[in-house]
Amino acid sequence: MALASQLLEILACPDDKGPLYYVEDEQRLYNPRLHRSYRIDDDIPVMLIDEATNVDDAEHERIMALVAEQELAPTFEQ
Amino acid sequence: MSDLFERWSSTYDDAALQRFTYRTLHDAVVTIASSQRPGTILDVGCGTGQLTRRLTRLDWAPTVYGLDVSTGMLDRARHCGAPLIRASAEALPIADHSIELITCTESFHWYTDQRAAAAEFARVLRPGGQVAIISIATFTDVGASLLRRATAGRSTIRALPPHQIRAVLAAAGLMVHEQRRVRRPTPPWPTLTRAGRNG
Repeated sequence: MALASQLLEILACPDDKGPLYYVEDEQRLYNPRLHRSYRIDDDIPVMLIDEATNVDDAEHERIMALVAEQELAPTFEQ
Repeated sequence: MSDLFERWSSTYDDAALQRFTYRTLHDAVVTIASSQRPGTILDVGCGTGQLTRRLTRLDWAPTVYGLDVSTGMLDRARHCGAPLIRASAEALPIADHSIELITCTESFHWYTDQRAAAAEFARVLRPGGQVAIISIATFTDVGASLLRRATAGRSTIRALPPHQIRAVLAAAGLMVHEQRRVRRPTPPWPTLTRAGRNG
């Protein structure tokens, strides 16, 4: 199931507090500034820095290409 | 500590325990919410979602979010009617100035870094927003130190005396409007502290 829009509009990275991209197809929330990905477990975003995944440059490029292709907007405007 | 909550979550909702221990506290929070009628409420340390559910049913239909660090608790909160977030109170994954009321019942005394949590509350509150914390509190500094010694190695509880709770909130730039004990059928009687962020 997709995350609720009223949840997405306030969701930020717990580390730098900036907006995230919600990549629904991959059930992840992505911080492009820190190259950090947060997973979503059964509709509950896991926003713990210790449980986030740091992605390498190639994976970052792939996710950002997906963001561009699907015209995904960040969770909020900074 | 997270293990403690995973084990606890399976028995946490026992009806009698709930009625005795939490109902009075939740009533106090609902009273605060009803006088303020916030459009957005973040329930930090939502546990199994008992209070979260009540907040979603308030007559002005606020947007309510439940946040907890424990998977076991969140699994039981799944049907509370609010979107849920797994996160730590000391590092909230919430945009600046996006919340009008933060509720925090029976969880502040578990935080490893209460100053960090208070700073996060101040950051995510909108100007004029408020936080209502109900926390186990000791009567005095001596009590706090005795409790720490008595539970050393077995518990990570960090109950503070009321004046220290006020000091932690003030250091985060929050103005304390109200502080009182909440009487319930069984001790310990927790302290309610209501503080606001200046507009």
